[in-house]
Amino acid sequence: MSLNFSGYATEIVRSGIEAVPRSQIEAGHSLGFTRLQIFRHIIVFPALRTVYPALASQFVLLMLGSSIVAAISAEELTAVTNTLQSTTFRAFEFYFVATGIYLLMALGARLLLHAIYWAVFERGRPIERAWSR
Amino acid sequence: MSRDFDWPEFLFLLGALRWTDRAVADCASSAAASAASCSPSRARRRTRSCAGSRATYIGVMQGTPVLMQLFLAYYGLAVLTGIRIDPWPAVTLAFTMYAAAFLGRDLARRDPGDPAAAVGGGAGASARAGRRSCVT
Repeated sequence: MSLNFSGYATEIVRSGIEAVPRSQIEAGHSLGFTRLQIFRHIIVFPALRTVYPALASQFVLLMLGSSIVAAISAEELTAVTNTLQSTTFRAFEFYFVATGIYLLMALGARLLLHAIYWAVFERGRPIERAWSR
Repeated sequence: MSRDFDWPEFLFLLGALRWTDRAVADCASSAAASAASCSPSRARRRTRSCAGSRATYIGVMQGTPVLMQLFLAYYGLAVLTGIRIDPWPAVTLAFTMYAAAFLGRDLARRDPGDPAAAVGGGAGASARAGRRSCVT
C-alpha cells in the first residue's frame, strides 16, 4: 500500500511542482534568495498547497483501499465483517454497518485534512488566504 | 495433492479473462455511467435541495469502499426488495453508481477549475482552482 500510494503521490506532487511558474523562481533569484530558500519557499510550499486537495483525496482513498487487505488475511474491519456475516448469514446488516463505519472514518479524515490545510496554509497568512479564494 | 502451475492452468487463467472483459464492458464503457453522472452534475444547477442530494450522493459513494458498495448492491437489494439478482447485474449497478459519483463530481466543479480543465490547464491548474469545492 505504501508503494502504491507513493506512486500516485509522486505524480501529484510532480504536477504541483511543474505548476510553479518559472518566473517566480527567477524572481526569487533576483531578490537574492539562496537555492535552498527558493526550493523551500517558492517551489515546495506553493506546490504542496496547489496539490493539497488531490493529495488529501489520495489519503482518503488509501484509507478506503485498506478494505482489500482482508485478501491476504490481515484482520481489519472488512475481514471481521466477512467472518461475522459468514457465521450469522446476516450479510446485508453487517455490510451496511461496516459501510457506515467507513463513511464516518472518511468524513473524519476529511475534516482532519481540512483542518491541517487551514493550520498549515491559511492560519496567519491573510494574503495567501485572499489569493487562494 | 496439489497441482503444479503449468500451461493448462495458465490457459484457465486466460479463459477467465472473458469474465473480466465482460465486467469492463459492462461498467466502464456503459453509457449508463456517463448518463447517470449527468444527473448529479446537473443537480447543482437547479435547487438547493438538488445540490444537497448531489453532494450527499457523491460524499457517500466516495466515502465508502467500492467493495462495500458491491456487497450492498448484491445482498442489500435482495434484503430490501426481496428480489435476488445475479452477481453480474449487481456488479454493473454498483460500478455504475461508483463511476457516476466520480464523473459527477468532476463535471460539477463550480469554480474556475471548469475553464482551466476545458482549455487543458492540467492537473495543477485544475487542482488549484478546485481547491475549495473539493476539500479532500
